[in-house]
Amino acid sequence: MELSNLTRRRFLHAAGGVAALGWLGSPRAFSLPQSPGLPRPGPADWPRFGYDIHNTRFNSKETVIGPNNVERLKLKWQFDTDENFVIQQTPTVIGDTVFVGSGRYEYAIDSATGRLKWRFEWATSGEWERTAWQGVLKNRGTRSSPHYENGRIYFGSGSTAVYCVDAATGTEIWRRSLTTEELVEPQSFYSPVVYNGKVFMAYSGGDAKIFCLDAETGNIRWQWRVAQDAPEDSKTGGGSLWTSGAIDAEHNIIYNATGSNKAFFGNLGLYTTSVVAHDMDTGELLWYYQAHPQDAFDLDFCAHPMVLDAFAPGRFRGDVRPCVVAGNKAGIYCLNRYTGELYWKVMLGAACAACGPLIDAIATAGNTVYCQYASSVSNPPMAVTAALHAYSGAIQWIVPNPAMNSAPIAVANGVLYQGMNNGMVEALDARNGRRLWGHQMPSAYRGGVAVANGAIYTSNGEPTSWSGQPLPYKHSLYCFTVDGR
Amino acid sequence: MPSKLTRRDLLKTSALGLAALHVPGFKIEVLGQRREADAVEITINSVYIRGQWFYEPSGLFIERGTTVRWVPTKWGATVTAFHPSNANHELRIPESAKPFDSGLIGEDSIRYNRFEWKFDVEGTYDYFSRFHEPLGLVGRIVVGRPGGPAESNRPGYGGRDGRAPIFPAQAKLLEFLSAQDIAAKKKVPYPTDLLVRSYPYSDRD
Repeated sequence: MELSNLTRRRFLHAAGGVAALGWLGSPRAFSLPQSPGLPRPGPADWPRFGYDIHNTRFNSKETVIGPNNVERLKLKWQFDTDENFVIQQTPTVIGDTVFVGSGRYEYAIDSATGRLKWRFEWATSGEWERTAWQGVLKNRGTRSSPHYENGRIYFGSGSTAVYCVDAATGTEIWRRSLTTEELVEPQSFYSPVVYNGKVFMAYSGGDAKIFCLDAETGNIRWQWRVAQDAPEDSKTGGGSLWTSGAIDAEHNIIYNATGSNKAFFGNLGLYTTSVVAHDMDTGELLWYYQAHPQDAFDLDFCAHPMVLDAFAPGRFRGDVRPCVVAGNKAGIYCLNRYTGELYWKVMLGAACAACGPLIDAIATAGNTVYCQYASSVSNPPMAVTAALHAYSGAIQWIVPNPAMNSAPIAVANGVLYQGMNNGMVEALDARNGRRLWGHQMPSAYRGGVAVANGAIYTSNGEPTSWSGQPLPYKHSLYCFTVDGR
Repeated sequence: MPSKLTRRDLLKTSALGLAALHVPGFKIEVLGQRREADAVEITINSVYIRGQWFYEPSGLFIERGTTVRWVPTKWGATVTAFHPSNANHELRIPESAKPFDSGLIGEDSIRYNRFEWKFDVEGTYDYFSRFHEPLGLVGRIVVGRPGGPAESNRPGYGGRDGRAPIFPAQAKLLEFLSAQDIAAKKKVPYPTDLLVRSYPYSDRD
């Protein structure tokens, strides 16, 4: 259904509901002593991977950059990484400070000038050595976006460790390695979500797990092994967590999306290639939705769960669907977030192991689910960006892209930000997909965009294959503002 | 006998320190280590778009005393003989042959590790991957000339003795891999159209 079919009153009601959900999702329920020198919050910060704990990737507070001036975005500054490590994560922006990780470092950077404030090297104490298997990849190191909470930064290493660091100084407060087991390709691709004294974290690889940690100490409160249909001593099973969790605070639920099955037996391969809902306090599994039992096709869920309420089109007026939306390599799924019932599924191209809204190429705002969708196995190969009605999944608009995607998108103030493997970062009109602005980076758009306080922050990274030669260009964090001011 | 090094041997001999040897239980080979010249290679493959895992070639003929090396292109499989000592599977290797089981063939720091086995007893050997049985990841090796329980019994015969069940895809491929055919052709490639799952398999929609 078209947005224009909504009455203004109805739309405002719907938008207000979504906005209220977003506001409720960011309480400051626990407080800690804070260091002097913490960043001063701005009017429209971007505090974590998914923007809020609903993972909307929609900055509802941004008012400076919009469809009328986004074409005037100019590079304000560029921050080159140490040792030319890639950036494969979304930066976090709090007022005057940008936090981002790359390789073996976590950085705090002045958001106005791009100057380094502090640099924290997490890769000590053997953690870097534990990423040695990534040596054949271009993206060795941290790929876990930082979460800012109460003056602290929480992020994952390229191994399975999670760190809590003082946001003012870069001093380590605690660290926790989530496994000492020798597993296949263990890594924390997951971006932590911090809420009410808890840190939710996960690792990927041959045998994945979800964790709830104490935000104050890093102690493990509960953990949950994904591939429970595989014997634990097999050290394989799969179920990787490639993204980040979303929270329904009102009902005390955390949602996660899991990757494909890696060990096949005479069973369904639970709980791989699934959306799973857990009680935040106890870790009890409340429901699961398995898109592909015994998934030998590598159809990982690779686009983050998003918590939203979807409002019915006119003829079903009054109906509200409590949704969690997530994407795998075979489609975008909208589920009842209290039962796991499927509301709708949308495929915008043939499925494959490198298809779909990968990676995290979904966002939601104003009763709409935005997505990029890649399908290299379609004939001809296709890559598109689309807006789907949140209630029905109906396509509101769809536009082709000139290249495949593998990175998060973002929405703010009527503009959809996206990028592609060819290094283009773009701004589209969120109402119709019209291209408004673009910038060519030297290599692939992999980390996504953060939109905050009248600026956008993005970066360039790499696909994963690597032959070891040095690259003739930089990997950098870029800040764009209107006219570069 | 397996030509695999134990972890201890490996640490002793790894003078160059090239291997990051932190995967106990895995069969690990040092980067650059000299290998037996007569080893015959079988690759372990998967094709996600077809939901398939397979050994290539699936059927292999060798002379007695030959070493076979399995080289994975993805981590996660095993090379495991059909033998009661391997998870109660039915006997499908010669009675006097030693059973083999690679364990999880994973990844050591910068390259895949492998598994090698020397075949000293004549006959027909059937093997499988512990983690891919429903997908039909099985192979057959004929050493010298066909013979033994794999020749005289159809896949699944052990069920009457309480052995682990054989999955349909395993039986289908083993029955396709005729030992006489393997002996005549020396190598029988994986039949790519024999085991094809509908795609995507079991989508709940």
